[in-house]
Amino acid sequence: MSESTTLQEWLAAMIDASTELATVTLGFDGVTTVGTADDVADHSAGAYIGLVGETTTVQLAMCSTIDGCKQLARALLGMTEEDELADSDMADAMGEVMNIVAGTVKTRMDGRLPALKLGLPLFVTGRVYSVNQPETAVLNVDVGPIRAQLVAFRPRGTT
Amino acid sequence: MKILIVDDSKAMRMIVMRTLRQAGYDNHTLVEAGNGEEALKVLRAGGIDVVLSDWNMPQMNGIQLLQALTAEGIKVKFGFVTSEGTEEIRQKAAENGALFVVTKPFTADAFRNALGAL
Repeated sequence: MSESTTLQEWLAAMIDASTELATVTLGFDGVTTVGTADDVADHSAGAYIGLVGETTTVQLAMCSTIDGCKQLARALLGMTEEDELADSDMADAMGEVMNIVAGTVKTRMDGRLPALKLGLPLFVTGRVYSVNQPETAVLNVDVGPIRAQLVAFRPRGTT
Repeated sequence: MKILIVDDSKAMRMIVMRTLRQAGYDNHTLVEAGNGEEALKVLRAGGIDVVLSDWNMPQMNGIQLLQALTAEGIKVKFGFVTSEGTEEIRQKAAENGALFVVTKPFTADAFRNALGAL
């Protein structure tokens, strides 16, 4: 039996998951919450992934500037600023960042939403506009030294 | 030992290889495949000792790969390296013959423990 959830609970789980990723794999001290935002920032890029359950469909994303995405990708890949990073590798690495975060979120929510299915990540440059004005929650965070946004959105009326 | 790393993300294959080297497997042969179908071709040719496979992949995912190996009678030590760490996933992996599940994000110790037990 699935329970209802709030987007704030999804964001809280994303904070925990991204903190684990930042400390275990990216070599950062952690993730600091800077504040909330009404929407994803203009001129952003990021990786999106869907989680689909019996009663819930939620999209999770980690967004930043292109430069921020490159810094996150370099951290994941253990590269220095001098190492060349192709755009395709940045997108791939950002997708994997989001895959790890969403996988950890799924595990944390498993007791409450046991039938969740994890999708495949998608890297997007620019903002994602939805025609049906989804319920959206956004947190501004610092992943180590990198300013980013954690995003959760879902169709209105789902719980 | 010849280890096949199966993941649709080139970035993740690089990270797994780097972490295996940190775990002391730098003298072993590491081979890559981008999905289950590619991996199956490599495994049919023989010579692989251990498979480290992602779970979610396009074309043929990790559990489909494991089931295909069983159906074809290809015997190889098989473990998952996945962001999915739920009990359902662990149970399904074990039921299909996987020897371990390493969850992302992982440490070198996680690979030492998983591979050291083989």
